[in-house]
Amino acid sequence: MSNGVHAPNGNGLPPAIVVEKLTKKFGDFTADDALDFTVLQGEIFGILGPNGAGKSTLIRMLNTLLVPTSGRATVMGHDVARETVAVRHEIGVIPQGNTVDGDLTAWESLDLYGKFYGMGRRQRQQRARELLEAVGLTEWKDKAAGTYSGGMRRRLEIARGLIHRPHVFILDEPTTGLDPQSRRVIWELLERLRGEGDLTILLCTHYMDEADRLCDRLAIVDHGKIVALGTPRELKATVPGKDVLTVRFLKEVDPALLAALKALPEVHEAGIEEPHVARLSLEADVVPMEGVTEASRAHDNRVQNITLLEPTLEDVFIHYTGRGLRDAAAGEYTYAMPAIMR
Amino acid sequence: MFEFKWSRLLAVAERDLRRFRRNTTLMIPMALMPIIYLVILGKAMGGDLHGLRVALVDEDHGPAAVVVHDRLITLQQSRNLFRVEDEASPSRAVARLRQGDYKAVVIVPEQFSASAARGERARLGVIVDNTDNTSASVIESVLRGAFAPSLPGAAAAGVVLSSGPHIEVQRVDVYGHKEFMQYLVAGVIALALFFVAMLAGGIILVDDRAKGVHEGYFVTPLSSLDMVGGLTLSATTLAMIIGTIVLGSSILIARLPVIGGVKTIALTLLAILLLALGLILFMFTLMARVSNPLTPRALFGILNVLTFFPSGALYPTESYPGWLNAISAAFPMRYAVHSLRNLLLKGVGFQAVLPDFLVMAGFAAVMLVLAATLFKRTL
Repeated sequence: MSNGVHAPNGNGLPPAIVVEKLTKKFGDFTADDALDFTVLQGEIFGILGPNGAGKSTLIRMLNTLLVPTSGRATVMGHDVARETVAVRHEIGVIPQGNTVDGDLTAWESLDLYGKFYGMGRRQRQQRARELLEAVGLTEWKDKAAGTYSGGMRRRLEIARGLIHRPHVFILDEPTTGLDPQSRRVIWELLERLRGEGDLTILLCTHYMDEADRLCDRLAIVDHGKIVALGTPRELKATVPGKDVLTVRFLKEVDPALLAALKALPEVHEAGIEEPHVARLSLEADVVPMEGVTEASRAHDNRVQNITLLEPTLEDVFIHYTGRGLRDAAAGEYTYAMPAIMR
Repeated sequence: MFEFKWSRLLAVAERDLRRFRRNTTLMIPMALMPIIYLVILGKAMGGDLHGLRVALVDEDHGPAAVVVHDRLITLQQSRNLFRVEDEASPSRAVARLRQGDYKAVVIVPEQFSASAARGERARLGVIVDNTDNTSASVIESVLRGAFAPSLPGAAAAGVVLSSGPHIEVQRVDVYGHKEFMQYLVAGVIALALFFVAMLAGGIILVDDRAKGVHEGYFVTPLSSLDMVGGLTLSATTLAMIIGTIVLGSSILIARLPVIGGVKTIALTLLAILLLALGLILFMFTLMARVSNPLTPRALFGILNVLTFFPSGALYPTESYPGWLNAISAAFPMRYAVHSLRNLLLKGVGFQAVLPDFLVMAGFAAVMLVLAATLFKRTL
């Protein structure tokens, strides 16, 4: 796991974002507490955490909407507190809330933002055409955005944020509140962006699947602090208990076969999940394929299929914070939920 | 099928009352507005006129002219109704009346004393600025009372009477006949601009902020001045369109002859522009940090009462007490109404409206600085 402050720079370019001891306080409440991390150019860097963890405050400091209480952050070498205009030229931002102007059409919206960045007419029109095509809104470009679905509005915001070809694209929970299909469309868009050029993406999310699928590296934030930072694989590798193997046999798993599986050196624990399925908790990264096959043959059975379950980011979050992401989002206390349906 | 339950009705009411309880500051304007209406309207409409500037031109210099002079001075001192100034020539006095310096010119003609000495009726000319018909009528009736001592009620009017020559007051309207509707045109234009400023400068601004539209702007290189300037330009454009429509409609409906032609129209549009700028920037300043969309709506009535009613749009400013005059003088509406009325009813030139224009331009400049300074560029 990289420590984040001086992360190895894989592409030899200076970092896109450098955050040093960045702190934001609102009165007595510390929303972000001495955050340190570095985002490399061209990577998708995720900020994962529950609601209220300080993610949006961090994003708003980086996009110049909030002034840090202390510490420092730079975007493409520009200080976010002192060189705000330069920072705003470098970034494209998708804020958490809906900021689409419902009175304007998609075309008008993109043209307007192009003007904000001082782009010439021909340049604006060409870029708007490209982006509308990319986000699948060409057909809708002359309709008022107020008539769009939530997913279409988000796609328009993505196009709007990219109108001036920013170097850093900051997205604050871009898929919150969207249906699964719209989420998938947004993900595919971001994956395409990663594949095109050197755009750096800072993605703030509380969806673990989103972070897992999209992020090259991510920081897990809780109570305003970074509790873990690394690639999704690195983070999962830090979770004790390692991987889980489920093995489906042709016949039911008898106690003798189960004992033989449990006796394998790579297996920490073994149990019956279903009559035909054994669940093996592994000690190490090595999957005991041969051992399982031999044990089944020795006990007159055959392996039908094997599934390797890796730890999820939820497991990572539990490991580092002591509670699940949903629990964290629900509040600091737990209580026994009474029956709510009769 | 119709179904009614008190519990459901009460639930809806409870929800609304909770909202008001949690926004108690919004209730202040609701409670304040009727009181402000009472005080402002009570003092801005129908109050006693005072300090009306009247020119006295004495072409007679005889003993009867001295009586006229003395009675005017008595009226000035006893009721503070007039501020009398002596003028040498009728033409200069009327010219100044046309510029708005006087409300009336009292002319004591040659042979005035001789006629009085012969026991004939001595005719006193009173030329009034009938674009302000309220003041003109008050001046006429008070003078008639003052120079007709036998009339019942004159003493009750506070006029100090004495026996003297038989004087007849002859009123002359300097602008011919003017209807009250024509008198209202200046105020109607100013009111239209207030509505535009309230909508574009207040309500839409705060609504856009609440909807997150401004958050989208803030992450771009736009500066506070870009935003305030751009929003002012759009609101002013709207104000000019609405102002022009109201001006054109008023001219047709009130059958207002445009004295001075193109020059008057151009100066009128300039007055509309200056008032629009001032009011819009004033709204931006007030709403620079407001994020609750209910706030501008709650303030709408109060601002209307504070700026429009004491502007002289409906009743002469000469009737206001000192504190109301101070409120009136602080807002550009008064200067706009004054200049628009001078332009549309009298056809005055640029020099006559320049002081009003300068005050309106100054107000707009101060508000621009305040709005750009207070406009919050961060969240």
